[in-house]
Amino acid sequence: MSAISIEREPAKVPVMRVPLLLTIVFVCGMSVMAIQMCASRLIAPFFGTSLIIWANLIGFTMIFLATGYYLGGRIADKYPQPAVLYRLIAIAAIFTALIPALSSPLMDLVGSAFKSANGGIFFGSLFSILLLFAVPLALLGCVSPFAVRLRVAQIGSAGKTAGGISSLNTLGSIIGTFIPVLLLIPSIGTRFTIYIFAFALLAFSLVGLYLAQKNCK
Amino acid sequence: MAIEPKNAGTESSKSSGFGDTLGRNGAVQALVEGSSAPALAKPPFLLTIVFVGGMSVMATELCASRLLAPYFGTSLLIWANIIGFVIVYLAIGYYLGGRLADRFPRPEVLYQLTAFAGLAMGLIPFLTRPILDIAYDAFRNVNGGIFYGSLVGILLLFSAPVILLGCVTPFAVHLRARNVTNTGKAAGGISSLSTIGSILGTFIPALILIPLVGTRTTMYAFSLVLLAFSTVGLFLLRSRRVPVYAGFMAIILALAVLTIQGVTRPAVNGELVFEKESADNYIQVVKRPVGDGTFRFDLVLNEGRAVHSIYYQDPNRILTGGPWDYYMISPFFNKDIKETTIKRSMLIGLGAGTVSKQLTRAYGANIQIEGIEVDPEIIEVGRKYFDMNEPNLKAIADDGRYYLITSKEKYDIIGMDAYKQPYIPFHLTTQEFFKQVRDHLTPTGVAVVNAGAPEYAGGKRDYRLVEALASTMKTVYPNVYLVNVDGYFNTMVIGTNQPTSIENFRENITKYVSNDLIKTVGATALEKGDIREWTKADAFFTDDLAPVERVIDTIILDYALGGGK
Repeated sequence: MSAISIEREPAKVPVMRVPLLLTIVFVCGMSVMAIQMCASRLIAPFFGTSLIIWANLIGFTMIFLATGYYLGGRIADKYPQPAVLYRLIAIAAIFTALIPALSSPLMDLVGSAFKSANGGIFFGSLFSILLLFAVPLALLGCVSPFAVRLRVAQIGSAGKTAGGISSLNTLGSIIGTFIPVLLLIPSIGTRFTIYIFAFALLAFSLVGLYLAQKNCK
Repeated sequence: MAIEPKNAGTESSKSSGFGDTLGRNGAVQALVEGSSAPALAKPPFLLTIVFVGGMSVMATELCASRLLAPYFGTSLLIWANIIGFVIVYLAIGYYLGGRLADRFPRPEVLYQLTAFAGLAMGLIPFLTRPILDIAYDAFRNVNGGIFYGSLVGILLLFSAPVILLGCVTPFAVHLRARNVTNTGKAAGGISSLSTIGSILGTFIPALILIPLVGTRTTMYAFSLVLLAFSTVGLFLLRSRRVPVYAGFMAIILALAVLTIQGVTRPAVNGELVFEKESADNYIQVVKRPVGDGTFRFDLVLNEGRAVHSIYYQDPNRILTGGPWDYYMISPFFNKDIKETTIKRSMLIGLGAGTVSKQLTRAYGANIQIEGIEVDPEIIEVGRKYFDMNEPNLKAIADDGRYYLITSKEKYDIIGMDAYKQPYIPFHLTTQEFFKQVRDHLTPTGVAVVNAGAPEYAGGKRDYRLVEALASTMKTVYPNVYLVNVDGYFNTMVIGTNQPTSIENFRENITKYVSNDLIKTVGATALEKGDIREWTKADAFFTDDLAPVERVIDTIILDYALGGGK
């Protein structure tokens, strides 16, 4: 059964632009780290930069990503079409773009709610991180396994595909760590940096959707 | 969007033995290129090793940063180097791992990779020792090239374990993916498991092991765990090589027992009284001779470029000549202020309590001091080695800004000295922060910040950080003053809640102040401090845009290039 499905698979999958797919994997890897770096700058004025905050931020980013990986793989097996992937990224872009406007009023609210509580910093930062970053980061976590699934249909080797995609995603993460920290945040500020990455995600996903539609016709 | 019609069949084939066999055949055809040995149907232990592998990567990265901290500090540059190197290694590992899995799709190969990763990890604490000694000498002899060279040397040592661990995820995806239609699930599940491992690998060392047993022991522990799981995996596969890897464990264990003793880093110019790795810092207490036969105790953090607190053995000696002394004189820019007016102070960046001791001596036990220090271990060290036991001092382990905004009190002096060398945390430099500080000042209250202004060869001082802070404060306070600390490359930036003047200060210090300590420091400030008012208002640092790290990096860079003193 499965052997047959492999034979048929390529015909079922819409023609895919490989360079675009790999570029998007790279951009998403970059955005995840950029969002995390910006998150620490947004949270600091309200809850500081102590170890607890970093632990919460790194830990929850990983949990959101892990959720995304898990869901992304399942969705990809069910709907192995590039258009679905691009739609997920477009939604992630919109949620990312909402972060700058929502962060201050939200953390003000959460901060005052936990003001008198014990462990106010811990729970305050935890809820803020959950409300602001869970959706975009989980959606971006979907990208890597989804791309593995789409690529493996073409080249047929799971190991090589997973390795190549992870490696590309990781290279994106390096750039996504250094460009915001060294260049963007000190020059144009945290909010504007987030808008840039949200815009990049949206632009690439729209191009992807456009091309996917064109291929269907 | 159409649902893949083959999907349902594949899903069910996963669990049944019959479907599995078919699927395996398909997978072997599709996935294995030129391999003679097909993978076992269900690699035992595969998910466990993915989890342990993910944990080990992050544990290695964290330990790398803590291994370097006592010598190189924790500046952004060092972090960028560590993260950069680790990510490049991982990318190489992912790439190689995928290729290897295509070539040799056998779980045995994977467990051998992880076993070697474990061995390499366990050798690092041992191998870095001589390189760190070179770094220590280079630091003392101010040899930048060798210093940076040793940093790169150490990071190169980390290539072996991290590249090997990077192989794990794609390798496991290959072993798990039975056919194309479930590759997504396999890739997603494996990545997600590895990531959950990473979370533990971040928190267990950072929050529990390193503060408890130190970095080296933590590395040995993770090395042994990785070796143990790899060996068990090989054992389950009935590998003949099990004794070899069990031998690796014995080697690491022996190394750990032999090298666990000894200090992390010797003290510079003094005797090491105490050392401790807290979750945030590498802490040293160093005993140094003062010159008159007595000693002083210095609090030294991380790479030790700065002294954070000083305590003199001689109980009559309170003044240090350094920036600590200047907090007590800052209220006297106000008109008609008396020493008895000063009743409450908050210190953000308490350290081991040098300033709180001085304020208590200057204003008597009636002054209530709230000292905020983000690292609880430093408070402990202060109580034990710096006699930070004044009954009027409340030492609180918390983030300074968070404590400030949750406080309902008003303060006469709010002092900021929260350096995490070489940086000031950005959220303690912004316009929004200084507004929150002003909201917590009494009418005659003052905000005091200690800022570095290094001197270049030829006597030119670099005031860029000082001026950026002063300009930001001037957008909030009616008057802002700069006072140079004589003998130090520090400048105090003082903002007052109501209009004040330098003339008031001169008059207060020379005519009205009765306490000797305040008089002495005030006189030094008037004589040698070049007290001046700062009038340019510019919100240089805001919560959104605070390039404080960049300003400090530029100063350090120009200092290094311009031949600073």
